[in-house]
Amino acid sequence: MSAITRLRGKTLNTIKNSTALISNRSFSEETEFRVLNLRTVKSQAPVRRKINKPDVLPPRSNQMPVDQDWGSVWPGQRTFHPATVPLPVRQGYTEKNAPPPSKFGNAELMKIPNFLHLTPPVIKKQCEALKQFCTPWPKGLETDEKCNKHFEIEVASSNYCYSSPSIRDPLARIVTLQIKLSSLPLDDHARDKFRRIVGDRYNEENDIVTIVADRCPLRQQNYDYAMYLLTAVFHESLRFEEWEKTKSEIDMEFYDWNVSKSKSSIESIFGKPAEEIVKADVYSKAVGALMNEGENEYTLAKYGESVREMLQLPAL
Amino acid sequence: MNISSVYLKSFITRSCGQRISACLFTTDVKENIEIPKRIHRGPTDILRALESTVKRDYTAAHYKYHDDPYLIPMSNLGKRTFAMAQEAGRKAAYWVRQENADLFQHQEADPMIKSFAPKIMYNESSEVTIQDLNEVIEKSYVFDAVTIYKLLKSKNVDVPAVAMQQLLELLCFYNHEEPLLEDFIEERWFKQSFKGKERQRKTWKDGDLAEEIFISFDNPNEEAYSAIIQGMAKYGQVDRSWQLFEEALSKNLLLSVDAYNSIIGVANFLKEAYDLRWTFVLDMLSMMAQAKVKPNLRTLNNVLKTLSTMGTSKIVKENALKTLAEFRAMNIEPSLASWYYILITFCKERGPVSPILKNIMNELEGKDLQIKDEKDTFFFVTAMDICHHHLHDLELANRVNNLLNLHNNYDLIGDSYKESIYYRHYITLLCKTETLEEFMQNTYLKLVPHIYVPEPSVMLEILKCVEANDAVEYIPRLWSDVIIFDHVNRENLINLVLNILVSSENAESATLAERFSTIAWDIWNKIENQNENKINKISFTGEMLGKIMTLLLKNDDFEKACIVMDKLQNDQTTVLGVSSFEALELFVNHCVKEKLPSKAISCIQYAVDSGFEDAANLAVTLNTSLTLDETHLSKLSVIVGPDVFK
Amino acid sequence: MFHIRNAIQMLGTRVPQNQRLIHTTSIYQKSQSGRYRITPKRDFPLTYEMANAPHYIMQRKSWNSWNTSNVLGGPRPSETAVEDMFIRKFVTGTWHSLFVSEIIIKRQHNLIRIAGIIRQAISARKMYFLIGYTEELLSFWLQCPVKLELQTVADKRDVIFKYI
Repeated sequence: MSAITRLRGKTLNTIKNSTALISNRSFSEETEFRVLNLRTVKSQAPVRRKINKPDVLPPRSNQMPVDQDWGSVWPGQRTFHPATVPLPVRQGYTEKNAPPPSKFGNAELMKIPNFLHLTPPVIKKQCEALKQFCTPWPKGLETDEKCNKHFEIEVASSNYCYSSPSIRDPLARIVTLQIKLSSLPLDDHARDKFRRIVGDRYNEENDIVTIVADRCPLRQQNYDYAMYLLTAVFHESLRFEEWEKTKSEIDMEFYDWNVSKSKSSIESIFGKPAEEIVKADVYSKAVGALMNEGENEYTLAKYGESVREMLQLPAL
Repeated sequence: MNISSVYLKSFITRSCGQRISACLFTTDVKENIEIPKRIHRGPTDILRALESTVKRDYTAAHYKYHDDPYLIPMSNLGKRTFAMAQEAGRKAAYWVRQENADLFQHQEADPMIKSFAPKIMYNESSEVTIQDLNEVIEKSYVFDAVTIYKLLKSKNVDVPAVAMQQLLELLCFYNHEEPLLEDFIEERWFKQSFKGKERQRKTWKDGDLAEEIFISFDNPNEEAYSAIIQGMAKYGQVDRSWQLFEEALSKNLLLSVDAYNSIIGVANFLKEAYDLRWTFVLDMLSMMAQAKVKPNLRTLNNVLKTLSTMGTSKIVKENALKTLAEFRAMNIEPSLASWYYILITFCKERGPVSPILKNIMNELEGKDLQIKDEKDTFFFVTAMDICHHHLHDLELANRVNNLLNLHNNYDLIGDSYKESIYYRHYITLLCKTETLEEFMQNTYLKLVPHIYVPEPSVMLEILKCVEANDAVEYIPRLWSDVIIFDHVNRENLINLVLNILVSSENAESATLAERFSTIAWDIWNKIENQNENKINKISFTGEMLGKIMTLLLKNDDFEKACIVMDKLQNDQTTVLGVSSFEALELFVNHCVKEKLPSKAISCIQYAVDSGFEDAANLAVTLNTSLTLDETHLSKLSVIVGPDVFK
Repeated sequence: MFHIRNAIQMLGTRVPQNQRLIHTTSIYQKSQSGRYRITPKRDFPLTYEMANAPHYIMQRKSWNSWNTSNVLGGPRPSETAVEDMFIRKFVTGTWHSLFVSEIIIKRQHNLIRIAGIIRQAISARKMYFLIGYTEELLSFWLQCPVKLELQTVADKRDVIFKYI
């Protein structure tokens, strides 16, 4: 039902339109026979004004001499432009063996970052121009060893360049300070204490202490803090406190057999000082190895062997 | 950009562990380490160094234009409209930002860049403090300064004397007018500087705030006097500035050197006669000496300026040189403006020829020039004018041009108007003195069109040169330039081009004939298809059409020639003058070749109508070379008379 | 989920207890964005960008936005995306029906370079006005220097890669 009414509405509309049309026309052409036109006649498209397109110049790459200075034509980073680059480049993937799209009207070429502004001659020229700001390498620091010798502390920080309106980056505040432990004048005790204080900041493999400071908001503050830490740790490790005398076996940094429980035990078993016990030196070495290097097949076997030897038991 | 350009720069510095090791270490051998001093550099020095490796690319337009064939301007009009349109767009953006200032309050950039934020607006209801006043004076926002000052006054806030003085100076300097924003470079560049003319009339705003402030001082000090004297002198209120000057002197106030300078600068308004003027200047200088005010470069320039307005007598020139020498003795080196005044003093249009420019160039050559005076920008254009008109010296002109292109001296060219006048003189001079080939190769092809677009008069000069040398090989290029530079509506240019082409002796070769005929047809099209609404339309003359026809026929373009012929015949009312007889003869000959007697007959008709006596000969030739039928014969005999064929 | 459970329950009532049935439908995750359907007359113009579906990015075509926001630890990823969207809308609106390519946005430090191909449909003078306006207003808004780097083509057919 509803469909039918809608349909009727539609036809009514058309009729209304066409009558309007007819009445319009009757004004101008009264003498002519009036035609009932149910379908609205498409009015003729208005004649478009012809747009005079201005002449566009040919690409300026045509005028470029072959020996021109390319660095002046393309001095800085810029999006590719086909009329300026006198190279017949093409880019794009095509199927069916067609050639890739040419450089004109090619958005792909405009997308990729180009390095047309950094051709080798330009880099050479720019380096020459920047030489006036460079100083020669310091005398007496020709090799890395010399650098390390004279400048023991290495301080590193990072700057971050992102594409954003802000030049700030929170990571830039971090300052890393590195120093070779052996370059510090420390005795055995102080070295031990130093290592205990810095903990896992010390790398045994290359003997380097690394201090990372990132708790302050500014780099300068972090740098000062790292330097302060180094100074404080150094002086603290040189000091000998009263309580350090109470250092016991388990506090030792490595297993020393000479002051160990093992020594006193075998002395009590044999009833004589360890120096007099046969093969005790082998045994002490084996126990030291077992404790310092950890249990493995080799140290365990060695340990067993030495015990048998010392107790004069037959070998297995 | 992409990952590769996230620059992660690590700075690793090594520092000597002196604090720790010095006390404990006994360094055995102290090795000598020499660390060179850091070379100081400013924030933009690296960029400037890199920029110095880039030279001018003659195939490109100025970098302010978009580098795209459609957007590169080719005529003077294009250069102007494009740059100004871009600036208009920028102004629109400024307007949008200012209208919606509340929306532009976000802070995206860190650190904040102030010029991206909208300007603070002040009106009657804003809360203002002395600090605001100081700030707007600092930024030289004249209107804002006035508004804030008035607000403060209405609230009975005491403005400190320093701020008052600064405000007075600001108002005097700008004469109560808001200066053009610094960002709008193009407007400044294309604004023709009528500064010289503006000076003639008084623009000082009498009785405005500056004077009010000045009066409000109970006992104005020397600074206030200096400021108002300078302002009045600068904007043409000469008499009152002189009055105040005398008033200040009578109060025994020590005026600043700039106040003296501005009074010297307006000497030509104060004193009419030349000798009085000079004594006045001398008086001023001795007054300065008495007051122990040390003169500066501006004093020199203003003295020279006054001298330059004092006619051509010999004494003036001597005085100018003496002044120069005396200031030299005081260690005041002349700037370009001084040389400009010297030039206009010595090289007057009607005066004797003076080679002083040579001496000036000896002085200036190789220097890296800086702007020191407002008038410094007048030097180069005047120097080139003198090279061209006064001395007619090619070598000197080249020296001036070399100086201009040295270092950053090009900044002193001034504005677009001065630049184009400079090049107009330079190019015309080169064109007149160099051989045409040298000129075209070294100058024309390099400078035109991106650095300089020749005006019609210069183009005419070049074309005349081409005509004299019969160097038609340059015509295609020159003609295309004429079209591009929009000079097609210049009748004299078109006539000259046609003349050159027709009278050329080299035109026999087929290729050239073809190119010429293309040019001729081009001219025809350009004139025929002119825009209906164009104001300065140019119309054909018979001579022009005759030449076009000749050129077309030389290339055997008979059909096109027929069209031209039709125009000649049908539009005799609009086409002025008549075609040359040679052209008609050629046409008839070609008709004979094409065996088209009717065309030939109508041409003969035209020849008779135009009153050529030899028209009858044409009819005879036609008759003898073609066998004409009855109708044609009868027509011919009607035209030229029946007795010709007997 | 509900449907499946209901189905199982319903089935459970009808079929013997030792049977378990589960009803599944085919997955509906057809990718459609950035892909164009072939028209009956094969006259729908595609640019190179349109002719290659999104999964070809980095293989046959490259990105339209170039910045460092999405590298590991890069700053302002969301802000950059929103700003890029803003730039695209602003430019397409300001340069009404003039751009015939995508709008390419490249950022370097605080410089934003907007590239693209436009039609020579309006006079060069008007283009300069739009260039000045776009550069200035965007730089006010984004508080970065903005540069337009345009290429013009005479006709929009010049950038058409194929018809489908």
